[in-house]
Amino acid sequence: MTAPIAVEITGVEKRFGDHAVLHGIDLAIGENEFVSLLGPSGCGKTTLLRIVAGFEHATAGSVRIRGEDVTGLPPHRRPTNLVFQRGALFPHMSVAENIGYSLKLRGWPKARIAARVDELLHLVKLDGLGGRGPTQLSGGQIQRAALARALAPEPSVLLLDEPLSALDLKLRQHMQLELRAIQRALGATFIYVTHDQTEALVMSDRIAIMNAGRLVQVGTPREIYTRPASIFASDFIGETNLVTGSVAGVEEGVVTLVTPGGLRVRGSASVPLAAGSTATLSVRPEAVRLRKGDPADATPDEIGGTIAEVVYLGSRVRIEVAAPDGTLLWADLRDAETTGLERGMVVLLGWPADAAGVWPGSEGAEG
Amino acid sequence: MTARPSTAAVRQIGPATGFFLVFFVVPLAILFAMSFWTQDGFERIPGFDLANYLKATTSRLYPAVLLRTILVGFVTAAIVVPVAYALAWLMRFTFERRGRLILGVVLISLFSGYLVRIYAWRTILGTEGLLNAALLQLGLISEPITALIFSPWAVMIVLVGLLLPLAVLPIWSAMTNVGRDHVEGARDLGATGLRLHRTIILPMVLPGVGTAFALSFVLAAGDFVVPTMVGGAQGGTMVGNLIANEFRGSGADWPMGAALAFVIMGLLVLVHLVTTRLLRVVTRW
Amino acid sequence: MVSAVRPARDDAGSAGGSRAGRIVAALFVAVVLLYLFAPVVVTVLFSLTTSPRLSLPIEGLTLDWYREAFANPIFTIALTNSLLLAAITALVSVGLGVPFAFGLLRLRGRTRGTLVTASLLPAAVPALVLGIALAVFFSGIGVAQGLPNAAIGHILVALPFVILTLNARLETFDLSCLEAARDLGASPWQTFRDITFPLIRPSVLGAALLAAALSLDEFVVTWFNVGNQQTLPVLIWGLLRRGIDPTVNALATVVLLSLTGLVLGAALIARRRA
Repeated sequence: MTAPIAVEITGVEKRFGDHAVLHGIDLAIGENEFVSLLGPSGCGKTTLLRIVAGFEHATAGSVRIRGEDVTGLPPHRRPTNLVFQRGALFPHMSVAENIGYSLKLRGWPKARIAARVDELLHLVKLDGLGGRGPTQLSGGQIQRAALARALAPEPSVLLLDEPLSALDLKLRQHMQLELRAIQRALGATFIYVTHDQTEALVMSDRIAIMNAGRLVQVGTPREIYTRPASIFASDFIGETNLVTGSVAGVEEGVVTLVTPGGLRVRGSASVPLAAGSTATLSVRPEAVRLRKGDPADATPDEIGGTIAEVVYLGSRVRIEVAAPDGTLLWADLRDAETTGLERGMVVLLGWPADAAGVWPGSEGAEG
Repeated sequence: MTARPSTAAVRQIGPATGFFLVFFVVPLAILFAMSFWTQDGFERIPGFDLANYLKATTSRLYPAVLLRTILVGFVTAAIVVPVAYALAWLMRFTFERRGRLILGVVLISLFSGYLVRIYAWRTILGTEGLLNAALLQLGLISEPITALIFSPWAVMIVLVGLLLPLAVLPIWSAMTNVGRDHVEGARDLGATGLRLHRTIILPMVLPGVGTAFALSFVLAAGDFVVPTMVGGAQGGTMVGNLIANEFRGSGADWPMGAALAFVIMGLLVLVHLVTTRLLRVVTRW
Repeated sequence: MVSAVRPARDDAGSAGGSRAGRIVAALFVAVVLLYLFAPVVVTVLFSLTTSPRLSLPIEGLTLDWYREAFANPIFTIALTNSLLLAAITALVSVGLGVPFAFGLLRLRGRTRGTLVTASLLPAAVPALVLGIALAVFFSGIGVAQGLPNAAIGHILVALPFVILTLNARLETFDLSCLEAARDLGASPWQTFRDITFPLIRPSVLGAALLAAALSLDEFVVTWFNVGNQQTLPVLIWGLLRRGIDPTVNALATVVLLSLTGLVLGAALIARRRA
């Protein structure tokens, strides 16, 4: 990272009694960066965000913002602002009063507050709605107002706690792009908590995947999608085929796995694997190629199977193939590629070994 | 992300908790301890003696009064709770929006003066009271009905009026959790009429009904103003009168009064446990 | 008044759908309301009639009983004491109940449920028992009976109801609003002044009026603890014990009107908030 560091999280741990929620998190976030904390519910992402905001205190470790140690500071002394999951607008204040609240606390003159509020209303496309009460707003408008309110004091870092999760899909997709545009326009640092991988892919400069209180992988959306660092990461981001078996052999980085049913699959090893150990292969459906043909004609890279289901998804078609040992694999093809493919048909499918990753352990195991 | 019980929470809960401990728990504990004391003339002798409890259960006067108290309390609750249930049901599902208004009116009667309402019933039920006067004038009776007042019946008539609004509240708030879709779903599956109530609605509002029953039962059996005013000397005396007399009467005997208070509360808890157990069996389909 | 817009479907309750069913239901409600309010009507009516003994038909109307009641020197004392107790009860029970309800919000489900139930216990014990327990307690620690003892009793009676109503209202209180204020730069005090207090003011006012109403109507606990002092209910009780006295009806009507005023006020405040 070449940009100066906005937030530096070092060795942060959080324990509630005996229960550890975060184990030694290290994460540096650059100025003007949009970083998503992505993970399933209960993975500790919200706790981490609240530690940065100052609502929770780390059991160990430190948080620095623009070089200043804020670990012990209360929320109102930190240069961060938080957009809450459901907005948390003050119900007894108008939208404008909500947005101007932090400025009023800072003792700004009324006229200056009004000008700044108008500017922010315009930024979040709520022009003219400043006089409304929070109960007169739609879900999307509430989140826009909450965003404007959090941006008003010009925080060094804006923290967002699943602000779009309560909205319906269409609106959510729209707001994702808009949030991204606002972040770019302001050149601000955003830390965004979400459990929605699409959302993280769409908006982020970098994604930090969390699981069970640990950082699993940090990288750009492309890195994470194409080179997931673990079974968990590959399964959590995008869709994938997982095949678990024992390692039959490793040759020049290409691993061959044999499933209990005798199916042989190949992929590239991310870490050294011992022969005979259990490992899991992950291959994206769109990397799987498929052709008509007899299993006898199969190359070493191919598997014979029977088409179990053909699902039309609009822009693509998902073909589900049952291998002889019962393993089900998906292949995503373009519509034009699927002419003549029907249920029950015998086909050959395969993928380049470097399109599939192999990790030690079985599917459910921690990555 | 649940918050831990912080020192802030303890600081906020502390004062009220302290108040309850000092002025509720401690006094009740002292009262309980005192129930084992004895009294000799005007002198209370601390100690541990079961004499008061023995007297409460074996003497000629007390068991009969205890039994009458339990009966009056039970019958009152047994009248109040079904009526309150019906009211709550009608307010929620028949009168819908107007139901809240009815609820408000019912609750206002709760605040129309405790003593006043009891006294006014004496005006209504008395031998020369409004009811008798009206019946006489209508020619329905030729002589005033004397049994209307100064009897256990009078006590119950008044208690029902006092406790009904109180019993409606918990049942109503439990009933707000019952949705129209529950009712329609049950109907759709063939549960109608009484069966709908016994197998679907009643189990759903059972906690509220239990609270209502406990409240009306305990408060009816523990009242002493109503039996004093409309109960009469012979048939209407309840334990509350005896206890009150032991504390404010002439030959006051606090230990005896304390023992009576705990005997009646123990009996109330017992009867209540049995009743709720029964109710749970009845509502099982 | 059956609304004509509603489609006649057999939607709810044995009395729900049909027109006949609705009439039966309305009759039932009417009878219950008559039963509940008959004593109230009788009291108000006889506070205004000329005949000191009740008789039908009513002969004439007068305000004499009110004049006589107010002329009673004890009435002024009792009224003052009652208002004093009501004010103290409202202040103290709200002062104890508001922090308690907020503290509950910070607690987990089980602890919270237990505490709410425990705080309601005094309301489930007959007032008679509360009264004698307090009397024994105060005599044990050597405090003579009087108004302060009665005030403690009134707070004990009112506090469970104050906690109950505040707890119900605060369940919808969004705690993240308080965090948002802190996050935007408000100190704990500024958060209370700008956010918490304005948001809870109606609920607190409602609870205070309820506490005042409970205090104004409290007789049993008072009677065992107030000693020789007077309150309105104690005065009324004394008059009732002495025999027929029509000024009682006037006094009772005064109490009744103040109670109704307090409770309606509380209801209106709650409504305006919603």
